[in-house]
Amino acid sequence: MPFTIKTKTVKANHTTDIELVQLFQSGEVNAFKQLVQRHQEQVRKTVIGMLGEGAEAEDVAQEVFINFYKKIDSFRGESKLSTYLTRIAINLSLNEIKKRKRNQSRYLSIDKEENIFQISDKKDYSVQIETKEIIHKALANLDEDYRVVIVLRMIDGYSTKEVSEILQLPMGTVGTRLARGQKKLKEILKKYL
Amino acid sequence: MMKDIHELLMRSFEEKLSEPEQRRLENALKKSKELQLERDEIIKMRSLFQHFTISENPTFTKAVLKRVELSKSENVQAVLVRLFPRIAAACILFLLVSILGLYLVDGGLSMDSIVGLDNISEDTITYLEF
Repeated sequence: MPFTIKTKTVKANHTTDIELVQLFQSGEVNAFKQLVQRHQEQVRKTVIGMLGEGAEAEDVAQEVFINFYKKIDSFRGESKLSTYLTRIAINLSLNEIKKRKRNQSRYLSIDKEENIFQISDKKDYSVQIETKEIIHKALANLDEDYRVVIVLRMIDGYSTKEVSEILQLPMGTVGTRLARGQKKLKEILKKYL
Repeated sequence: MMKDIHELLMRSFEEKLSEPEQRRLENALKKSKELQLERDEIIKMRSLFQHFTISENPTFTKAVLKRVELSKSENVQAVLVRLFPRIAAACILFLLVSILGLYLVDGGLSMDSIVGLDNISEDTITYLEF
């Protein structure tokens, strides 16, 4: 199953994120590598959820860690590192979407619903790839406000409260966007449900 | 009324409803086939998203570390680029002050005064000739 990441890698050592950050701050270069290994799946999932799979998404995911590296001295651990990284990932993804809009990128300029599932109709695609295609195309047709909330809640698995913390939005707004986003998604995905 | 029930249905996926709310939703679900269909579609859709996976990228960590190294050297370059105007301005100022000093001491800016030949005494010239 080449397209699946089985489970989150649990490190043999039980050093916490904040301990690794402190180790890095005190000169232990390898600690940063461990942090990247520990959080890369989560960060990539968020960015790929927002942008779709491809080199651009990988670039943005890498940029998240470079951004973190540059600001690591100011990380005090007030929020969980995963939340902190997700916030960076969302911000950079939104910047990328803006850039794509400016450049009239293919991903967001695809025709709406009538052309959206063309690729998925090919019979030789495995079910898994097809599912991914369906989700990517459906997400690409959502407004960013809804897409962010859907990705964080339904793909990353954050709770509504965590989503509101990451996006720094009131819980009520998150709930509304989640409900509207799901309604819109349901319309887009109707023939697959 | 229907809007309320839809809201309740959506909320039921996110949080535990209070007992009266739960009862209201269950009653509405019993009565409305449309609402049942909607609930089933939401369940299927959420399950679709729960099974969303991404391809593995075994070179990711390596790529990040490489870019970090690159950004460090870019930082050095950035510092040099940032400092360049100040260094250039300091050099120009030094040159101007030197020229002004020379002018004030020798009263002119001839080639001899610039290279310092105008201060050489006759004896020294004789010495230099041998």
